[in-house]
Amino acid sequence: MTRYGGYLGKFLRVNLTENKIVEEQLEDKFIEKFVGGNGFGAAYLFKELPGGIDPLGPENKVILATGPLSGTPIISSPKIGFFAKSPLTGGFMDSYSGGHLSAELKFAGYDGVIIEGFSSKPVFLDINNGIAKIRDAENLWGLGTFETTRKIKEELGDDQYKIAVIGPGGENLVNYAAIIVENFHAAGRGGIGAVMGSKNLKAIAVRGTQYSPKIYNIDLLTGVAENLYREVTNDKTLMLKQKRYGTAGATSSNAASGILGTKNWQQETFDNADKIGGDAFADNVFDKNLACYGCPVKCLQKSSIKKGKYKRLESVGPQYETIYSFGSLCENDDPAVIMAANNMCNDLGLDTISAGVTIAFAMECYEKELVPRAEFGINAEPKFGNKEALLELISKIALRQDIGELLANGVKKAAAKIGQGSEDFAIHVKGLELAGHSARGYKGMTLGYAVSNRGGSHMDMRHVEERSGKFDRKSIDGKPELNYNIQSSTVIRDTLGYCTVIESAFGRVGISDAMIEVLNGVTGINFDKDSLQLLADRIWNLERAFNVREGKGREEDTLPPRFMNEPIPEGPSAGMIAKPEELEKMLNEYYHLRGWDIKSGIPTKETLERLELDFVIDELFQI
Amino acid sequence: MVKDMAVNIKVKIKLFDLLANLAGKKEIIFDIPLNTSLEDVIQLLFNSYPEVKNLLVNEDGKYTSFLLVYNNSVELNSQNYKSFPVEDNSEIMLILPGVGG
Repeated sequence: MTRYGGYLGKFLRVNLTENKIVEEQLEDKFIEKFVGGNGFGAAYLFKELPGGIDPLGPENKVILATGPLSGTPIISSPKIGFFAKSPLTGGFMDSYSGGHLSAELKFAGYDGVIIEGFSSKPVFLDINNGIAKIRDAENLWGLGTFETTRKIKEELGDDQYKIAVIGPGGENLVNYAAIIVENFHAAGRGGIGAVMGSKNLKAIAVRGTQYSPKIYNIDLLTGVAENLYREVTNDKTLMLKQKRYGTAGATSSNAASGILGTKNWQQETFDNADKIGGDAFADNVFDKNLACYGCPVKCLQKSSIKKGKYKRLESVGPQYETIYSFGSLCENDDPAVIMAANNMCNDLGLDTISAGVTIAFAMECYEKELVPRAEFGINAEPKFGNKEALLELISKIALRQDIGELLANGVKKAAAKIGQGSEDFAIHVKGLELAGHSARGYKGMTLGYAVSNRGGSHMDMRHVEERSGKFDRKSIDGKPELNYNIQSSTVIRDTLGYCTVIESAFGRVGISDAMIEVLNGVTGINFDKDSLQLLADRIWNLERAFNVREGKGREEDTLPPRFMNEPIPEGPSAGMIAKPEELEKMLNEYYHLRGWDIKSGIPTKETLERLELDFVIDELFQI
Repeated sequence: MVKDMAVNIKVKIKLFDLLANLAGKKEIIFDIPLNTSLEDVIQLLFNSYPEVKNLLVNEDGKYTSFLLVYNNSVELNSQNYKSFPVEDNSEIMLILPGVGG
């Protein structure tokens, strides 16, 4: 039993090979050192996975970890982290879902779950108020996520279960298979859904009504929590914009600045951006707002198509990243097709960013005559702008049919097989396809993507500070330090469990008083600015060390050749390019700030000692 | 005696998404005196469309940190745009960037 607030003090360990479930107590020292979410996930993965394992073999593990704010009254803290060695990148992967699963797991009595081994037949995990069972899922295998969710609720006789599910994408080990949570949310990135699929684990269903985390100091916390609530709800811009558009509003602003990834990043302006802009969705597609646990912002949109070929299609969103990946990146200007693609990915269990980027890559390969049409195995011509081809390819990928067998492995592996220079326009970092924020148009993101432990993710280094003009997006000056500071705040965000939507209230750059006060009020761990910075550094370095153990160092802190060799050809940001020499300069400065060896990019022994990561030193410096 | 002739110029303000919704239009053209600053143009917009002001100006009188300002497709946020001199036929864009994951 932990003395700290914010925790139930227990993880479930589920061994699918042995059909065995045990409860494990969280030690206070472990809590103090890693705190939650991101920290727990990184610590378990590094300690429990040997280096070099097959990500789709039984030695890999899927970890679910909540943060200390999960299930507490702190505003907009619904995130649950999923962690595994990624089949897409071969490195550390964390992906976070909103919704209610995180709070529900706390209310069921647990801070997290470790899933290991391999089941010889399809199963799902049922966690209900302190009791966990492995249940048969043979009848669910092959079903989409929506039908699976419905059937599990029916079987368990309780429609209030919160369920994380894989679809055919995960079953077929698509390297970017997503985990779909409560039909509406996703832990999409990096293929953790495929890791579930490799274990024959179809779903994790959670119901909790009997437990809740205690608050360490309710008097201290009340004032801080109220201030945070006021800060968020008084922000008219945030509240109104998120309610009307969700994240879909980013399309117009990126188009206006000429940094909207288009035609597989051959361009960064899209002539028909207005057709897929925020208003196109808000006026014609979005119906009502949905909220995650404890969130007044309600940025998720319930949506439907009212006319045309896809009339009566009901779904959620789409969010900006999906509008980018299935819209401008594939030169598709039809909101209904973007929504159809989004819905297919949610049902089949695919990451919409990686799926869209991979399809755009395939379209460019076709147009450059690197892959003949016959190999695609689809009716429509796979050229940019062909909406039918886009939708056909999603199915092919999920089912690994025809060209889908190749594309299911992501652009890095597909380009390695296709060759013929296709590596130059395979848009990934460390194997993870890039999100929709320009690596050429923001110098901070040039470095941010390159050094992200996940790969091509926009969730570590955030573009928002450059986007809003607080930092000049066209200059490299100060960007290594900005990366370090923003990464510190995003690590703490993912460790505590609050959402990106309220980053402005907690602070986006560096460790803030709000982070310290909330964490101390909830948990009773006595953090100050220095010790919370140390925590952020520790977790970031632990993730980095995981990747180092897998053989990843400075050579993988790079960008797709397209971004380093081809300037943005047109529009307001024309001429911007991620010059290799600029990246190298920023890397040197960044490594110095991080305490990493400049030549190799590996954390030094002294740095790891400062961060009290002795178990990492033992592994990385054992020779 | 020669009377001073006031020289006026035209500027177009383009609004996107929420701002266009609040103003009820996507484009607004103002006739303004030569040498008017961008700040003055924005104040003119606020006076004509108080709903836009209500959204962009916080209770402490400061602009929201999210406002993106462009002049003829050039981003001005990293410059001191409020004193930026507006020229004839300038096209000024005001945009709220998206946030979130």
